[in-house]
Amino acid sequence: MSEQPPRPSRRALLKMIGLAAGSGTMMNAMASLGHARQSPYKGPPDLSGAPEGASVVVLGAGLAGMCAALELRKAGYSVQILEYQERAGGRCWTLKGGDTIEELGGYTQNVEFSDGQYINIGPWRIPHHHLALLDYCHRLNVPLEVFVQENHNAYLHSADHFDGKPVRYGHAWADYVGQITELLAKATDAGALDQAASVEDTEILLESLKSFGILDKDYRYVERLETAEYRGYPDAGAPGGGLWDAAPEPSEPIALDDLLTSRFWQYMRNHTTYRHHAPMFQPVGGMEEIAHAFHREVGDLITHNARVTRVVQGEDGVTVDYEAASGDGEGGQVSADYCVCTIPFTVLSQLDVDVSPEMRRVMRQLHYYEAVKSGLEFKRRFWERDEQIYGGITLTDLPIAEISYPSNEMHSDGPGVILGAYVYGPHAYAYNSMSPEERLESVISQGEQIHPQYRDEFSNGVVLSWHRVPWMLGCYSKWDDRGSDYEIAATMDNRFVCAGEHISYLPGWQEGSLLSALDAVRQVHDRATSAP
Amino acid sequence: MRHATLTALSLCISVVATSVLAQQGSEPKTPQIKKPGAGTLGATTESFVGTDGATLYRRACSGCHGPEGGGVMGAAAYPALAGNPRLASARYPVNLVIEGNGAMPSFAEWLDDEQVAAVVNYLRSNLGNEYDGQLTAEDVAQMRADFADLDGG
Repeated sequence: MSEQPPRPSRRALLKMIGLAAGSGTMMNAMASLGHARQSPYKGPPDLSGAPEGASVVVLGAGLAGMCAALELRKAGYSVQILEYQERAGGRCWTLKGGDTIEELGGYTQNVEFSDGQYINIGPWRIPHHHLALLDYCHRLNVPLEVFVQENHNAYLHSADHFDGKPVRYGHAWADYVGQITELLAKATDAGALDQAASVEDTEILLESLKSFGILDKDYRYVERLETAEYRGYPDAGAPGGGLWDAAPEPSEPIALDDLLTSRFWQYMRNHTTYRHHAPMFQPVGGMEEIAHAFHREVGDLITHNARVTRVVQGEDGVTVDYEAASGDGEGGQVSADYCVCTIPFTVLSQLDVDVSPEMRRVMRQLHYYEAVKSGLEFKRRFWERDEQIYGGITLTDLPIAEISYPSNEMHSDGPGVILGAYVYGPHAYAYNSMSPEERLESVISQGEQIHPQYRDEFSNGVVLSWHRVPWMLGCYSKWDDRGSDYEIAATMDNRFVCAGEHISYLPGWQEGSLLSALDAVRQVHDRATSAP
Repeated sequence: MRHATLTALSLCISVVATSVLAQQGSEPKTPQIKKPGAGTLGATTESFVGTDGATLYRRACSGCHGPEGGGVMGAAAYPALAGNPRLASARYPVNLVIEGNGAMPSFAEWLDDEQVAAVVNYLRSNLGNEYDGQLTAEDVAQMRADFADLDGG
């Protein structure tokens, strides 16, 4: 072909994707091309005209509760917050040296991290498209830094493949893409598409595969200087300077068969899901800085140590009974015109709450994910110094599932805290049943298969079972099939409205908490301003 | 036909992949792939392993309900299973294990019928409970179907 073929128009491209994969894919493709809906967040709500003296009681001082309280007070409502814990922030929770974790069933873990070290044991990263959360961070002066999600120098690991040795993610990625591209190119070149595609289409496809897959003239992905430019050089060595081993040499790709049987391909889209697109962010000093910022605004409204036991709705308002969560001290009763309830359904479904039978049914039927997370402090940042891994995530088929390296204090000579495990599914229940010491030993014994430095460099660590957190009884909501149940949960019931990550399409993400809080506030305000 | 390229590709690629692999002298065409983490911690990422009721109770249940089934109380409860009169009917614990309720998640996908029977039989004849009757996997299968019908209705 002598002429460059015309670039397919956006419309033609969409049509092609739609034909190939059905309309669901077309919607996804439209989202990635920037046509689908953005986050509904358009700035803090405009709640003008709040009735004089109107009041709201907010249950729970996590991000949703504190955000709702902030906006309602700003609009002129009289607000009180009841909180079970002595701290505010809920799952927006950063563990630091001196903290104590009390689990149900009697286990206590003392966090012994060095000064300045921490683990975000709940949410730990912020997508760049979580507009509400980023805006509140901006407005409440929470400094953010980059969170490294994808790191080509981190590892993929399988206990049963490659002699149990970790493989650099970048090697596996380049070699997998190169070799599946090679297969496709060879199939195309052998005429597999002749029935279906024009000569022009076939030629441009071959040209693109050769370029994208770093294939040679015979459409092979092989050991060449050109492929080394993408996958790296032998032993992470040359190109260098001077005479000493300076000249670049090609490196040997991993065989496709090994990549297939190791199932490493199942990890390769992990970092390219929309929610993980780079860049991601984290607050400087720990995720809980966001909770602290909200607390600066509404901390004076919070009654701590309050375990809600009962919510009654009447003609004129809502009455909430609570008792001292610690068992020591007074309980009490709060009355208000409206109630914003951020208590997770694991807990709320067990309380005496005066709402419709349908809403009660949904509370019982919404289940929560299990999760176990570990923070391990090491005396030395060996992953950086020895292995040149700066931030990012190693993925493994061991029960620990992942190791995330800290994005803060890179290149420091001091200690560092890594996320040593993030466990879901049956493995998480197995950890739930173990003592913290047993969990820690299990986490270390797996991690050292990937990083042999673990034992020598280990300083101290914690392993938290979210099911054993007294105020959660689980990690985050698991909507299998929302159907009409989601609307029931998200719609104001008389004077009572729920908020939190479970009332969002972003379960487990703080953005979902904030967006649901803002919608709950809108419903309260609509009701208050339309009341006769 | 111009825009049919990708459709056609998706149809032919599996055939070609096999033949190219064969040319390279690779062994397994459809490799037997071990599930990640198989056997470790008495579970895989997708299910619990084993059929001993006591062991299944320890791994799946005891983290919340307690090693002796005593239950715990925080902002709300994990109820006691020890000496629990509601276990008199086997259908009740099977329903909770399969369907979940509130803080109790569903274990329907992680325990097969034989495992559910084993753990419920353990509950009903241990932890201070002495109820007669042994469930079989077939009983559990029937209950699963019944619960699914109720959901549908």
